[in-house]
Amino acid sequence: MSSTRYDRQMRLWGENGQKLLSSAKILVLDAGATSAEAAKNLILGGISQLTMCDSPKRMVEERDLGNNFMTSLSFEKGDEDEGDDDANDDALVLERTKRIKRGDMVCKHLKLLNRNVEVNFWEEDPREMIERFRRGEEDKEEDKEELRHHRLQDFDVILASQLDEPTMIKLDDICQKLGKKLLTLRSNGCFGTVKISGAKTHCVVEAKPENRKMDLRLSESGVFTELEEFAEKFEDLEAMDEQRFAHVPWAVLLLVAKKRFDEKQRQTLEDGDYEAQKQFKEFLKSMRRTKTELNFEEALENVRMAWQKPDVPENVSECFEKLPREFRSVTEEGDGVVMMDTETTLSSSDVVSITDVGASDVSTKLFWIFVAALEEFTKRNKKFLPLDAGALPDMTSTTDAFVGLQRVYLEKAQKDQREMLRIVKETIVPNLKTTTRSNDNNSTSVRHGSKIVDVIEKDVDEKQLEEFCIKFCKNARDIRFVSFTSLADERDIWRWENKPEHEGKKAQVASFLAVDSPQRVCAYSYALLRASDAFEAKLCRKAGTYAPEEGVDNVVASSGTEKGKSMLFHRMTSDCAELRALVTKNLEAAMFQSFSTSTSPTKMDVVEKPPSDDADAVNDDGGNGSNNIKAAKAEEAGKFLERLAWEVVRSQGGEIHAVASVVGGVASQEAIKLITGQFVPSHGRVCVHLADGSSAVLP
Amino acid sequence: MASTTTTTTNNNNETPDAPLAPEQLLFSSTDSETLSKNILMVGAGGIGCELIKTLALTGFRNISIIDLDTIDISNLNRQFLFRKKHVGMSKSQVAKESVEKFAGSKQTGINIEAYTGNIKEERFGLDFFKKFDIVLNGLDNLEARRHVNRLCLSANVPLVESGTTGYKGQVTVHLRGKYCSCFECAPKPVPKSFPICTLRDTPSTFVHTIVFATDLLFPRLFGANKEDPSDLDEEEARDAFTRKENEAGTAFAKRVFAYVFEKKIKDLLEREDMWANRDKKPEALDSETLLKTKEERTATTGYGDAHKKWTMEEASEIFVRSAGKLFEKGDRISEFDKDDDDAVAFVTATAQLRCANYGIEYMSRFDAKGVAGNIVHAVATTNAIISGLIVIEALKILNAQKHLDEKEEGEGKNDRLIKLANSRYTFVGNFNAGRQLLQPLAPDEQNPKCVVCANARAELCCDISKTTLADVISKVLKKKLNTNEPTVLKGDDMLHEEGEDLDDDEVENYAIIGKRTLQDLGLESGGILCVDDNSQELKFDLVVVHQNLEEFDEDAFPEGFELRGETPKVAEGAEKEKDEDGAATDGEASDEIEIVEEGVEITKAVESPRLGKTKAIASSPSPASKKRKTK
Repeated sequence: MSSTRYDRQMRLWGENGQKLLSSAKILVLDAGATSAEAAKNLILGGISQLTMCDSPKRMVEERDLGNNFMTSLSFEKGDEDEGDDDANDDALVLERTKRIKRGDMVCKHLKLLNRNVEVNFWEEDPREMIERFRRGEEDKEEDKEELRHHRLQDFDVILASQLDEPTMIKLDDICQKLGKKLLTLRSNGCFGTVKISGAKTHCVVEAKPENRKMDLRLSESGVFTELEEFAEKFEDLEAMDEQRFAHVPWAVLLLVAKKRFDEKQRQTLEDGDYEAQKQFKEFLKSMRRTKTELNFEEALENVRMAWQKPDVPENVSECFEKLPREFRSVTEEGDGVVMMDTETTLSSSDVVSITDVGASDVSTKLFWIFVAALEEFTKRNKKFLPLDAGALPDMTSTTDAFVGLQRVYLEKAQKDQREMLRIVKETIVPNLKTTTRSNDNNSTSVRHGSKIVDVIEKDVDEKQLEEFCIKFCKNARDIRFVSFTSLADERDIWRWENKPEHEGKKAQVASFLAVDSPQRVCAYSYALLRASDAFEAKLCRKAGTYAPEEGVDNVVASSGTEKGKSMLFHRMTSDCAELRALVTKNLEAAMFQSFSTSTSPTKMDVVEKPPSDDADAVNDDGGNGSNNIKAAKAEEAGKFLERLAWEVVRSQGGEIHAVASVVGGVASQEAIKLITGQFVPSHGRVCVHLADGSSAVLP
Repeated sequence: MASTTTTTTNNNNETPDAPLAPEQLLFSSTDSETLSKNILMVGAGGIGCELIKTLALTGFRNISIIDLDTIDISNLNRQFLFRKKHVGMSKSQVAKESVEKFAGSKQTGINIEAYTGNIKEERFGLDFFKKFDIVLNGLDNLEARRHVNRLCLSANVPLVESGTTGYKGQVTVHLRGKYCSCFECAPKPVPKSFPICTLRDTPSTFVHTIVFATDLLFPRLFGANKEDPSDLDEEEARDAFTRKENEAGTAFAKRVFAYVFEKKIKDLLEREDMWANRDKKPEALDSETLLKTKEERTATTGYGDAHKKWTMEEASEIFVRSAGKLFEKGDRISEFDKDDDDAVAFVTATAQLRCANYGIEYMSRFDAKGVAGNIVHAVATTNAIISGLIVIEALKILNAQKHLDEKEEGEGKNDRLIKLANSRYTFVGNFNAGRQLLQPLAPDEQNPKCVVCANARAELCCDISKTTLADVISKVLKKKLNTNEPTVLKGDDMLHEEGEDLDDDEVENYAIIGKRTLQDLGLESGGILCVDDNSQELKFDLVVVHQNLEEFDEDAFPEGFELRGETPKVAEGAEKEKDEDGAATDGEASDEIEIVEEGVEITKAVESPRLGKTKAIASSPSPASKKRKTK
């Protein structure tokens, strides 16, 4: 039954992904529209258990019925409703509904979505809960009995929605300590944002990129014996009949032709330069019998592969660089070279312990063990990564030749896999153990080192290790780790505090705030969201509203008399100005800085669009002209901010369902990526501004 | 200009044609007038479920929803309005009831009209479309999408089109105008089709064997039109494929087994000229031995772990057993259905046995099902994101409409509307390769060569001495150009008409004309046929250019003609379009279409059966190589 139910999604993340999903336990804080949407998608996907934490004092309100699909009018009659007549029915139903706890109702509706998923309601105000865990007082006597069985460490992923920044930072701290992945969501008017934090990193073996680069090892340094031998069988091209000649696979054709080409004219040419490739192409063309052989066409298209250099892609070398320090001395010793200079070549913040990167679980430990092995493998194999036999594309060929070629690649891939496994067992693991002796000065590292070894020796059996090895080798080119900025660091960046380690990120933020940045809407909206949190903390009311004690009903005012409208309008105008001031206070420097650095190199990393003519004009122009433009742009930025601030006060912090649907969708999607370990989750803050139809990933 | 909310007071400085501030357009202008607009939703599948929920919670009150499909268990992972108890019931009806229940119809006064039927039915014609203010598509097949596009153009109703596959999806807005495009303005990717002789005699990939099973063998044995002439019916094959009176289903299946996997292969091997230039000859299976082993395991039920490959003995036994079950179903089967376990098992077994014949590597039932059913990945998360975006685009259009001068007419009005609404084509991607989550783009402009909305001509290149008018109508006009009931004229001469109001004489007459070749009908190279389809309000000229049949590359144009030049490159999915008789709103297989690469151009689609398959193969080690067909 379950395999049929999940058939369509298993085609995306496979049997293994579904298995991981079906054992995942997820905690969702808040039962509003956005969280309910995220919870809905996760439950449909077939997680094991979902617990929703919401204040027991929060009853269903009319606005919930308007934006949260997991709430509805309750038609179940209570005892006190006996004998009511129909005339009052609608009002009664509404009254009855308003006596139900929101969390209770949402959970009930969620349960209906998928009976295989356990749904629990955790009755506690999320803010109080976070405070309680922060104080570490969970075991104190005064704690309510019913809350004792709820522990954050029991969950795999935690989602928190609609919490203000300070509260989220507290939660992030707790999650960091527990090594739990945290997703924080906000949906405010037409702006929404999702950010992953908590655990500092996430390792991905199956990144599943859309276009995989292939390395068929056809270059002089890349070709391996078995392939060479296979190609030799085709050396006598001249003796082949036409049919066979036109069906020599292009990969083989390249090898054969290159060999002849080299024998003839190698000495005169710089290897692999443009001229050599051009001449080689001509050489290939001259070998054709007619001009229509498709295998030659294919070979001509792939000529550069004959010079393909071994490369360790950036995502892989980043993994090597971030190899936790427990492995640091390991690989170097394996190579027989003693290089104890890791501390000098890398600043101390770069070399972290495996526990610092959040590697508490088995798969993360395995990941780093194999990264260490991969680094060793590339050293032993002229920088080549293990071969991925799946990279062999379809090519014009006879069935025999193609199947034979496939076999050669498959056997080489298996050989590489065996070598990787051997490196793990014979080099990495023993060295992790011996670091006890060679690296006495770092006792914690030693302890962790032997802990890592435990994984191989206790947690996984031989078969699992082999399976992981095969998976790792097949994806070796695409492995990556993603690191997440903590919410506290993010706050400091947006406060523009002077911390040297944040300068790079601040420059990136500045580029997002620039006038010509296509993602400016999102950057400013996020700044405004932070400002509205600060506003609320200061004035104890949401921007654009009257506080309860002021005695003005916001709903009545907005839909009622002219007087009410004008009062509200007045309030909104002044709050709008306040929000603008709050943003400008922190970011003014950045806003101005951005005008002159709009073409800075950091910008190019994050903004795909080339700098507009406008920006060039600023840079080319000097003196007064520049100042005028600057002033004009400052005014423009002010207007722009005004427009977005107005939306914040207008929405009064409310969740709009269409936006909740998008934000909840994004959050659940990222959660699934984290749980299945497939695809690459976003490292930054995902923002969407739906009125404007734009999105951005803020640094 | 009936804004009733307070917040618009802030921003009264708009000039007639300047776009409104986005937030203002989206929210401040949304009033009860907007929310009472008539909305037509086509499709109640993955996107449809999310969409109707989002529409209801946005406050829309008048929604009509059409779907022809019933609920299947594999829908439940994302079509959240459906429960297990609803399996087998009408999607649109259950969607309506679920939303009314959740959204509390008493409270909101929501009015949902549910239709169970094919969008191509006559009752959903032009008059029906004219009743709506906007049409929102949540479809899964190109044919229905094109049909809806044409009716929307004719009725001048804005269309919001959408699709998802896996983590990716898109939302686009379509209107007729110079600065906006119709759905068919952008070339649709061309799915691959295979020459019959490759499928029948010389398969070289797993896909070939699957297509053989789903498109040739399955219809011949179980299909609704199994009596019709089939490409499998060579001289002695007719007997082999015809069930004798009172013959048990399994006995017949064994006979088919012996013919297809043994006798036919042996016959082929005798044609030595065929194998002279091939390295590898097929091998006939020993049907006697393979079928004998199963006798001991008659108690077996079910088809085992879907992810595990069968042994040859298992495949043989399952071939016979699943066929037996399919025969028992009799007339309830019309075509291959990916949700019928027996059908999937039969197709998988057939493919595996043929792979054994031809030395091709085969796949598990799970993978075979994906290839055979053209199954696209589908997850709830993407559909939720897409549905939010659809509603945003719809709100923008509906609100902008109120700001247009009502007296203005003509195409310029649509151009202004789409500009005023600040409409966007939005592509949702995953974050791999550093892409943004949402890629909003300005709408495309009209393709001046679009046959559908720009009055452009279509050009047909074929052998006029061999191509009959009936060929043009069935293979070109219907399959490729997606017409429904085309009328064909040459000058003033009526060559073809269809529809229920024709009398018998006329039908007979047109049948006779249809058998004549284009040359016989007096058409020369460069001649023009006028095509008119009332059901879609579509009219265009088809220019016919002659080329000798022998000159067509069989791989590129297996059907012996080429539709080109000024037509939008229409998909050639017709060769094997699953939903031929109108699974117009089969929200099931894929709620989803083309995906844009690098945010610029539509380069590939997952919608079409053939392409999906080719893709499925390309991503795994290819079992065997391509061979050029030599004829």
